[in-house]
Amino acid sequence: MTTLSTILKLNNVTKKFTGLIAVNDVSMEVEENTIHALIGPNGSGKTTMLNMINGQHRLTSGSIYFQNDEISKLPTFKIARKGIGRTFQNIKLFSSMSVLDNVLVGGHFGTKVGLVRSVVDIFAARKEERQLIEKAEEILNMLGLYSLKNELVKNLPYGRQKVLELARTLMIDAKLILLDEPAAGLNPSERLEFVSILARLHKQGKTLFLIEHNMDVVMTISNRITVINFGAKIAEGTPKEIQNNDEVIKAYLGEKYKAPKGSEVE
Amino acid sequence: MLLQVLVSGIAMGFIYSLVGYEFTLIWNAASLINFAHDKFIMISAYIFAGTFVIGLGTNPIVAVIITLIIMGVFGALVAVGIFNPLRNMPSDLYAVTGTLLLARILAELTRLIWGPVPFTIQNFITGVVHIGGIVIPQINIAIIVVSVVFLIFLQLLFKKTKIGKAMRCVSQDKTASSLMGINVQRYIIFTIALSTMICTVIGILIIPTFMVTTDMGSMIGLKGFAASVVGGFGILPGNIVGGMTVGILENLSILVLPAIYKDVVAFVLLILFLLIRPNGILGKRKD
Amino acid sequence: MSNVHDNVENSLVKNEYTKSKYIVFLVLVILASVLPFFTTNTYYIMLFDQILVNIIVVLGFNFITGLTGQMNLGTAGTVAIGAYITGLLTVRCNISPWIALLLAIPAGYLIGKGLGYPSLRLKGFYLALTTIGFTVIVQLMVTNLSDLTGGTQGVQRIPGFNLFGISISTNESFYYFLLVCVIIAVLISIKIIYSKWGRAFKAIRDNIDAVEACGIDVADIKIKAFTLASIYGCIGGALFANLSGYINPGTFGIDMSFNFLIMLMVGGIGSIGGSILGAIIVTMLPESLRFLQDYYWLIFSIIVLIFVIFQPNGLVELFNKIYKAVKSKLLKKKGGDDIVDHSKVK
Repeated sequence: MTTLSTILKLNNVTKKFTGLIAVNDVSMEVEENTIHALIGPNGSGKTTMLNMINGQHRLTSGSIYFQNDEISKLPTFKIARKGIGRTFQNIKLFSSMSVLDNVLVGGHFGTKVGLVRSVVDIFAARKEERQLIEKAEEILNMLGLYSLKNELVKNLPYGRQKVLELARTLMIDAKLILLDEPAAGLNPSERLEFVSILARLHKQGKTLFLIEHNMDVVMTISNRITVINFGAKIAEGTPKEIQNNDEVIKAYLGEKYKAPKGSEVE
Repeated sequence: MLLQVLVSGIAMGFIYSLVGYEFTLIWNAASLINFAHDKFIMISAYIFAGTFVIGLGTNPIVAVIITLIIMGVFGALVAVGIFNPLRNMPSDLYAVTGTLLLARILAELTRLIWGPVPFTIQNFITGVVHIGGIVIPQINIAIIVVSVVFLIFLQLLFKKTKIGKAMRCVSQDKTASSLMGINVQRYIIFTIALSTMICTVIGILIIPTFMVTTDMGSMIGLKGFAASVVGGFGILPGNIVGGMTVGILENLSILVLPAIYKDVVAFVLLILFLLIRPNGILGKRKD
Repeated sequence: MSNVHDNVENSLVKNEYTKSKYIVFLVLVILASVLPFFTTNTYYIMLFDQILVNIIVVLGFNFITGLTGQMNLGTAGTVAIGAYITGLLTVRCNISPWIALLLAIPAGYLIGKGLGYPSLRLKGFYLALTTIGFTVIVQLMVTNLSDLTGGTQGVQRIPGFNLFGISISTNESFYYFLLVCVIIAVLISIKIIYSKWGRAFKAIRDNIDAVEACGIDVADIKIKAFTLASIYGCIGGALFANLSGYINPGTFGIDMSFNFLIMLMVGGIGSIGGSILGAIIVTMLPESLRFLQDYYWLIFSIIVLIFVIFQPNGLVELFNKIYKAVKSKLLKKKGGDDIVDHSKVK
């Protein structure tokens, strides 16, 4: 049932690579302003799904809707402009550039001054640049990165780089943020900080759709979880429901997460 | 006329095929484009003609063997000293610049050692043959025969010998090869040395047609790239298909276009294929 | 606690550091302006002229290869087209060199679009091949269309410029004219690089997937980069024709493309200072290594090869490293151990 607040809808989405069905007829919905997790064993097709939402893979069949617009056939950059942001499993930042510059790149498509005008009309260019910098610095400040704004990305610790990727999605005014294993590679304190940032974004109205293997993170923070295995959806529900779902336990979780006193914290 | 043109086309086709073959070998083994390959061809010709046949009056057959050995060693040295560092650089750009610089250095060394004046070997396969009323330059026949023999030799080398099989493994999957106990580094060097020796054969074959000069190999080197792309880049048989296509088409073109456009044909083919079918004739269509 | 304004030199945003760069540039301009007073030797003046023209071409080349990271060996073809437009229009059709120079801009624009589109689908080696193909075809066509282009004879007696009736084709006056052109080219480059455009170019070189995820139309940016490079190149070619007075196809081969590549790499990929430095060093080379006589080209090539292997990002990066090392030593002296190494701190 599609409610008014559905922000992302996948209809019978299938992706075939030569000889392999990576995603098999998956349908699901993500509600606005929720934290929705996608979990499943390695190789179950999670990243492929993210790549299809994001436009990096073409669907073999099916369709994807974002806020009632079909985005399945759009190129990645147009999907990003519609308001879908993305972080990557192996961090894709601009390593030779500074922290501030990385965020500023996110603001590029929103600007209006063309190339010729940039050179000729220095006042318009300067004003636009100032606005960009203001917005970027605000975002950096909110995420605690302001003091590092002139550092080269390649000199940043891993945890900070992950937060920077998030900053970039905020710069493009993403309403839906796709996160590919955000907790991977973080130590416990970095993870806590990252999760609290995600919670903060959620409070600000963003929708988060994340792939994650770390079940503590998933169970703590998600409103809803979809489980896939071998490219097909096998379960969907609240964290408590998923923890008690036998098929999920058999395929992926193991008995450990069957919590009798289901208490998810928000 | 048509037959003569075809024979020329086939002969040059074989030359382009060999050029494509030698740099595809290095590409498959070392992920490096050897922009200096035309200078390897050049320096082989200079060593063969300048030093041995003319300089020392050596018997051509002996000279061929000696030159092959020298160039093989040369190839190995360059592989270790220059290609290895270049392969490990972060961007393609540095590798391209590096091999282009190597080409320059070789050209300069050649000019300093043998002098800037172009020359050729007297009576070295310079005659013509009469076949059924048609006059065909001997060199074209020589090129075709030698190339066919050489290509068969290479096939046997790769399919039947241990060294050849090891080289093929290394080209296809270095990790798997090394897990099988193959010394990947050593076979990469062998492959590069083999590629250099192919350049030697090319260099000697083109002396009668192109004379011995510092840029004798430039056009051929570039057209070899075209041949490779047209036939299917990275696929060894693609070089033969592509080489023949380029060689025959460019020679046929003089029957319909002013002769001055002959050289342009190869590059037009190159660009057409790059734009329309970058995987070449034998390549798979993109997914 | 380190100052937020540390390391501003890393940024592509206008700040205190870019202001200091302007000052350096101003100093260079002043030095360049008085240069002709130190020598009356025509040969040297022509050499300086050649350097200035090369600077313009390399500045353009920098947009596409230095910043955006796309392989481009087509500079010679672009320069050839600019040179022949000027040469043919001024000599055959008696059109003023000023108009011919202005026509280099739309010509460059068209070439940029033409070369830009293949770059969208081809990368690395394939793109290099396409641009090589472009240079070779241009050279072959110019050589063979002799009725139009004069073939191997080339185009002779290309006139110089006239400003309100005063000829600026004498060596000194042409030098200053070129200097003005270079200043304009550098200022435009600075404006473009230290802005969202420069950041977009560099971002494409660093990580194309991420650029798309930021909503940027990569195709559009690549074509812009090619167009800029080609316009600069065509203008450089036009000025080259005026400078030499005589052009022939032999000059515009792959060797010329390769020369520009060496200038870019020696100076420093991606930086304006690097483009200028590289152009100066490589053009001045025959002079400074004259004592090596016949061996100078060989020695230079070997030096550059060693350079490419050990300092691939050019001289400018080397200077930057020295600058940073000196700066941190000085700061250490001032503030004790206030310097925080961010890669080791959470």
